[in-house]
Amino acid sequence: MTRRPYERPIIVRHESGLGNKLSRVPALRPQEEIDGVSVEELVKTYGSPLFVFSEQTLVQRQRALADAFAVRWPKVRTAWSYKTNYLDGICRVLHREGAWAEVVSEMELDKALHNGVRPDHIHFNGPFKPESALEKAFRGGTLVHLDNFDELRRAEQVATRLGKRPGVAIRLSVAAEGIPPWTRFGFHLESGQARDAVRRLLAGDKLDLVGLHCHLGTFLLDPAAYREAAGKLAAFAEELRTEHGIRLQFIDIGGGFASHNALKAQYLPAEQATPSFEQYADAVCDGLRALQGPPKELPTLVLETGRAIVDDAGYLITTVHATRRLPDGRRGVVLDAGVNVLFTAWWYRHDVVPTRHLAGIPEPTVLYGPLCMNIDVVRDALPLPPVEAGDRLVLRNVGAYNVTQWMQFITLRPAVVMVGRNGQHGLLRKPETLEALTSWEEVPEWI
Amino acid sequence: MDLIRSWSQILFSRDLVVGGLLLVASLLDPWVGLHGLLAALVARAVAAALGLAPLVVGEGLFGYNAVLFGLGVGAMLPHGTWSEALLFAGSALTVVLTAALRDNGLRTGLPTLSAPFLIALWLVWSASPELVQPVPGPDRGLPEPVALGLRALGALLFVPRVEAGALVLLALLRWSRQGTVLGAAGVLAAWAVIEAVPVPLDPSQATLLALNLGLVSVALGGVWFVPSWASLALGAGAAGLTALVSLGAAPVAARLGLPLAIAPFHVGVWAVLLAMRQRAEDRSPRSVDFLPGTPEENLQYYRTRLARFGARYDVRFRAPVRGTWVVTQGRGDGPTHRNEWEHALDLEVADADGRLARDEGTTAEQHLCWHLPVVACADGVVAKVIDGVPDNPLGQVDLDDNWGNVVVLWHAPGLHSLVAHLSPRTIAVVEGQRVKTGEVLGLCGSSGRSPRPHLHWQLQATPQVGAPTLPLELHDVVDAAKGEVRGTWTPTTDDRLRNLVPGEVDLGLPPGTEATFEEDGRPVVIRSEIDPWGRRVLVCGDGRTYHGLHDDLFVVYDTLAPPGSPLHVLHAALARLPLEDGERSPTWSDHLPPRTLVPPWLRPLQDAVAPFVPLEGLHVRYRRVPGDRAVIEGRSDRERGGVPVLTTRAVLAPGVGLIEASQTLRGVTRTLRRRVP
Amino acid sequence: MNLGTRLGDLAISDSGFVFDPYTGASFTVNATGLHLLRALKDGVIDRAGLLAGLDEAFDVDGADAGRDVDDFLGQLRRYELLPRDFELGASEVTP
Repeated sequence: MTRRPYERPIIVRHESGLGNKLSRVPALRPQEEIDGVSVEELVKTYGSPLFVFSEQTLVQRQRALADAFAVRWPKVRTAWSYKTNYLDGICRVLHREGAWAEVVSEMELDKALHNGVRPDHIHFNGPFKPESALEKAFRGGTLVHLDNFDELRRAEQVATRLGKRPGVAIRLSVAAEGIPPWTRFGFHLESGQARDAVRRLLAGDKLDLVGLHCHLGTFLLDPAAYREAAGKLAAFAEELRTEHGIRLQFIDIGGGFASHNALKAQYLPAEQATPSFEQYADAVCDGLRALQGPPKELPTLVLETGRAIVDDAGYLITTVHATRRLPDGRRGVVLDAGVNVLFTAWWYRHDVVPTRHLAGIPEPTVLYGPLCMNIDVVRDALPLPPVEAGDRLVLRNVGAYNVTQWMQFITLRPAVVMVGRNGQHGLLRKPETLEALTSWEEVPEWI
Repeated sequence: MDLIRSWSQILFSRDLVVGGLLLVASLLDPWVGLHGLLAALVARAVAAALGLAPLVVGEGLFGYNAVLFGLGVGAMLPHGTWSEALLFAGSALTVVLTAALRDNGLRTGLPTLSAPFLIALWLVWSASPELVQPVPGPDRGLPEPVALGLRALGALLFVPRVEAGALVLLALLRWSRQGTVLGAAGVLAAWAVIEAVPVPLDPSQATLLALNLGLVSVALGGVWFVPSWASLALGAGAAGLTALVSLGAAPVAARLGLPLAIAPFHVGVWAVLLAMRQRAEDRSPRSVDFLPGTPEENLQYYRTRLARFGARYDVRFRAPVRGTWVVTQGRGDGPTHRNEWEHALDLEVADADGRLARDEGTTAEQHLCWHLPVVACADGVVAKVIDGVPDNPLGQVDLDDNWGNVVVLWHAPGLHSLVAHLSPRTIAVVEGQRVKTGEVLGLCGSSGRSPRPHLHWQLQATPQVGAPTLPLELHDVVDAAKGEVRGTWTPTTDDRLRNLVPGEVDLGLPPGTEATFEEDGRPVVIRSEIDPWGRRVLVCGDGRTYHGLHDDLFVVYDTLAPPGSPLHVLHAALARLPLEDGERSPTWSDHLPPRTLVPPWLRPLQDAVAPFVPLEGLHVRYRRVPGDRAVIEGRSDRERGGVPVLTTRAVLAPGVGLIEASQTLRGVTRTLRRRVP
Repeated sequence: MNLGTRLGDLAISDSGFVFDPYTGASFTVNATGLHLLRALKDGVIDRAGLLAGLDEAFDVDGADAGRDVDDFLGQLRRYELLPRDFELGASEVTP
């Protein structure tokens, strides 16, 4: 008698209540390659775990964003949000597509300049801009977005010292229904603080107000908030024009567009919940419709989109190290990548895909990282057929924040590579070595 | 200087040599010439007293009527204090009349010519007891037609003598060779008439006839119509008409004692110009609807404008949409663009894979162009709005309100544009409202005969909805598939198009400022101005470059400058410049006028042949080299010995503007570099 | 070792659907799990016997079947389909 193929024996209880978790499991199509390059080849070349970026997806997302807005507004500018991912390779692909740079610190400003970005093609945000940063910015014509009155005064002093009259923007904090207001940044619009800021700026007569900036939040799933905020910005811009004769060069609606990740508490899967670029564009441009006139008289619309462009372009290849059975019946899987490299595991339910067809019934599984820390949970409540040590898993939509926010903790940080549009691949960041680590350290001589 | 220009303007010129020759010619009869000078001085004083635009005065445009009047007074009025008084009064009057008629002329488009002079002369006639017609001088052994012609030329200045005429002929040649030829043709015609007419004409009548016919021939053959076979024919016809007027009016004038002078010329030109206005289509001969220059200049300008801009319309049309759209039904295509509605475009939005809708594409809202803004394709006035027609569900059409929601814009007499199938209650303009290019008219929808959301766009002659279409053109729009800015383009099905995005590229030459450049160490000052007619000009010495500055494009219209002028280098390097930012800049091409590119010794030959032989300009391809500063490189298609005949280069630095312009023409390089303080 | 009563009362279908009338809970088992359940119900309650039976029916080679069998029994204990203190015998031993 021919023997049937062997699978680990599994018994899974059916859950009642909020839908059967197992019944909502999408057919797990394995991902054997990324943009035509096999996962195994990538691991063999660069090791595991491994961050992989797809140039094709990056360019597609960037163009889709630009196109969605270009058909609705005559002058659109994308400014790449450096904090989302400031690896040189990623930044240069986007700058090649025409994106400016959006930076929030002197370090990011320097990095942008190091990437060859023109100083006057940079938007400089953030609450922390020391004098050295402001000087550098004003010298080069970088557009500074003022965050608070102290910064305004500091900016005026620096400008005077340099003998320049730079164009600046002010950041507004705007309340929009359905989202928690980020009141710690910018000048509040509704309370009149923004008007005060404008009057103060005009009275100081050292800076030119050329733009308005507003960043509503992060991972906003409802475009309606943008419609409301854009409407308020447009009304404010009109007020500035009629009362002070100011014609703004740009209106910056910041970032915050959601990517195709699902938040942990999110009920709907990403395919259903994440709005398209068109929906965001509709909302923003509809909100701005109070601004009328020929293209020359309209301000440029600036987008600081980060996550929505790069998240989908990033993958994390990880290898199963061990499996265990937890007392509550769930299976535990230990991976070689943990929350030390996948910071976004804290708030997303990342898609996890095997690289080969996994036979068997999905069981409730927990993915752990390699750290000896209880909090190192990469993915909870994941229905997964049985995996063995050595199996590879691909975590998807990890392109945003992970390679900037990751920690070197317990393990050395892995390599980051990019797969090009013609099947070529290469390093974006070398894997860390112990030498590199210890080169930072010094031991005082009395030890 | 402007005194001499008053003389030049008698021959439509501002050239000092022309004016000088005419002045000398008039002084051959010192009394006449001096009166001319006196009149010119009076006119200048009056113009200054009235506070007339110094720029216009400087062109001599307020002086030439006075000069003619002065010459006339000197020649025809009896010597005496009363005549001198009339001289002063009349000269002043010509200035006033010129100013009054110029304004009218600008509005109606009819040139003032020397009407003020004629009016002043006739008024003076009534105030003066007698007029003496100047006696034509002897033939001096020249063949009759030649002598007639020279005397006629002299008669222009009221010195009907062959010697004066010879100087005027020199002036005429200096002004325009084609013009001289045209004038000679007119004189020949006059001579033919004189020989043919059974009634013998007295010499002064014959001379005047020749003068009038000669002037008509020049004016209609090359100044107000682009020189061609057709304009020559028109000139001949008009000469005939003028001869009729001349001969017919002569006895009447004689009985009244009125000097006819060049009145028949005026009648002839005005009548023909007005009549030609009534034509259905302005071609063959093509009227000069731009600033008239010499016939050579008119021809060249028209030819290159034809090549660069397309002769069809003066209005420049941009795409009526934002971003990149695709043509889904072009000219003559599909079920609806046929017969009288042949020239129309259906536009939609496609994604990177060519799909027109997202997701399943089963509803109108899923179509990518749904509710996208539709904008004005050119400046204009809203002529008609139809709103309230509901959008159709996908797949259904509304045949009752065929066109759906519509906005018709008036752009110029006989030129309207129409956008149809807009979504109801999204139209943002009202009838009578002025709109500028790029302003939002409404949102794209699916009303009327529209099974799925799309935009229908057409040009038509009347504001009637459903009027037959006019041939359609887009100007300075990007052919997105090729990444090229097309000067004049009629897109067809599957073409993708978008407007240029107004950017921050700037030449740094705002009107009212000056910039100093350097060529071979010598300073070159270029001044940017707006002339009294509202045109943008770059002035360098005696040369001018007329240009247009739109939000998205800088374009040179014409350069009128001596051959060695640095403005020609600027023109070649910057003929047309999209002002769009960005690394992915489209390429573009342009035609450069042939006259300036031909070596000087070849020019007279080219001028003579040009009206009858198609001579295209030089086709140059331009591209923007990516980088910090904007570097624009141009390369002519035509090559010689494997090397392009012309290469150009312009460099613009952020914050400053144009800092370098250079051209290499047949191996010779000229470079202008800006002196930055 | 006593198998207890629950296992015997389970309704097991060939497709791998398992119903526990005692609690009303239902389960899914895969092919190997089904085989083991049936083997246990048939009285094979020693490790060697279970492993041999598995090896006979399935292409076990290389897989750590012993570990998997322990894991499976642990799940059965957890779902209370086997007594908490149930242990496999080393060889076939009648309780």
